[in-house]
Amino acid sequence: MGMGAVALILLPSFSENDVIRKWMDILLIAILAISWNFIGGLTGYPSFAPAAFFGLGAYVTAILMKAGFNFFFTLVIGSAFGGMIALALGIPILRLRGHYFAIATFGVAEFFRELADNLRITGGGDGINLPQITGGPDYFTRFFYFSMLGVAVLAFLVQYFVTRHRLGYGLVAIRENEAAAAMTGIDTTKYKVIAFVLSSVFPAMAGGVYAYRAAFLEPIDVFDILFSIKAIVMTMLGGVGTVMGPIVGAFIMEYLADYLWGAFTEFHSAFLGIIIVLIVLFIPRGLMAIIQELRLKGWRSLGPILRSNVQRFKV
Amino acid sequence: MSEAVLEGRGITKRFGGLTAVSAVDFTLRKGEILGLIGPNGAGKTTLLNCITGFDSPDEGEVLLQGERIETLKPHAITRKGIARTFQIVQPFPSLTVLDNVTMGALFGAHKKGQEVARAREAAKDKLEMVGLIEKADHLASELTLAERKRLELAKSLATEPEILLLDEVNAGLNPAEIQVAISLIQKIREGGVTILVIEHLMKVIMGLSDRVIVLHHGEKIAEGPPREVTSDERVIKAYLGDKYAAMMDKMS
Repeated sequence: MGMGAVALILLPSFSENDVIRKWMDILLIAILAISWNFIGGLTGYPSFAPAAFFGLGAYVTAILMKAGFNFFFTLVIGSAFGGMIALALGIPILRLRGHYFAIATFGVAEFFRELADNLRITGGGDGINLPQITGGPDYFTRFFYFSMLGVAVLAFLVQYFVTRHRLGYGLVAIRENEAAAAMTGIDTTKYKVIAFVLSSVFPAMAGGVYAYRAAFLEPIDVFDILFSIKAIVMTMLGGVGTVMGPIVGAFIMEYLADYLWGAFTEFHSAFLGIIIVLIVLFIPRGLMAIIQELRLKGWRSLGPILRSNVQRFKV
Repeated sequence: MSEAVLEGRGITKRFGGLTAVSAVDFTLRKGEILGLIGPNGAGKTTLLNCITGFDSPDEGEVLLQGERIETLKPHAITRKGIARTFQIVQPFPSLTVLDNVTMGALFGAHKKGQEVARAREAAKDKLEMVGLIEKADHLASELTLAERKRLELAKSLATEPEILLLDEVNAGLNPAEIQVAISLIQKIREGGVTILVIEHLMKVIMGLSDRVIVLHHGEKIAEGPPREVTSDERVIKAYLGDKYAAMMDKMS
């Protein structure tokens, strides 16, 4: 883990700008995946809201920077605002479960997109321009890379901390059995809302970085539900509810998508789709879970594990 | 007679047109084992749900050491020192046995700010007590029914309750397993926990309880020492059926 962090810090000193940009994308998706993991992975509430808060943060940074505020200051305001909105929304929608909750969070993202499309302060459907960053491409590529890395490290550390403390245990208990969780003394409503807020502040922050880098925002760009879907797929690929899962998933998925795009330009989406189906079928709990299980039981049990995963679908 | 720790006054719970529990009074005294019996659908579990906040009674009040608790949520009631087990066991299936019990030790009564490491140690003690320590690293879903019942017990004990409500902990167990469960419940009482137990098996209720309350169609029809209650004609008819009542008549 430490080595990974060092590698990420040193990456810009020996890489071309396009590689750095690639890793910036990986970090962005990793942030969304980690955030989704709080509510979807640990707590078991399948949320499509990360895209909503990503867009919210992006617009907060755009509007405030246009008004002359400092970039980093807008990130703080954006994430705080995202957290507050999540708190207000979480209390009613976290009463829903399963599909109903998923659809409600879907609605949240759509609602914000409509709002950004129609308000004057967001520039409506025409979009909004941000002040351009000064300096050459070498400088600003690194500036945005390190900004994104900073957010990712923050999200990762918070997740690491949460999974090792009471809060994380409480969230997992809710996922496993909400009635039993309440009966062991867990204030389930409070814990779910905390998880939802945590899953919102980091996407909002990452949205701010994205906005400054893009220099121009359109509602359809940042309130794209694909951001949420990517976050979910990558967490599932890496390992739902694990600390490293979202990062491993984001890394593999981004490079896999790149490779497929290069190798099968016309059909790359189809191949990606097939791979997603295979993941859900054979390793529903993700790569990290498989690796853990293999460490415990030995490589020979790979076959039986995959088989037993598929057998869940027998009627 | 020792003090009342938990009291119900006129507890009534309706589901649509059905009155599941009807104006039930009860008193649970410190250190006793109170049996709650009655045929299927008598309202035993509903009464338990009203005490633990899973249902809120339409009328009446629940008093914990004089304080009204019937409007509190389940987690708040657990934190006040009332734990329960469920008739259908409610484990955290994909967590280990130790993690299951750790949850109780992390969040139960008087556990504000409890640390994970300390909760794990407390959880190990409870696993030792119920005889599951050698299964600590197994997943809860891998346990047999008897083991899962004991896990359920360890989990609720880990919340350090003063009052424990047991909902048919012996259902589905074989005679040998029941014997283990009975001595476990007695051990828990000796540890100073007051117990209310719902039970179907007469043998168990006779051996365990100091007093018994009988529910029938949501109403309390008898209360007293087990021997007395089980010879009450109304109880025999209601609980054991007319056929059994006639048989008892012939025998005596």
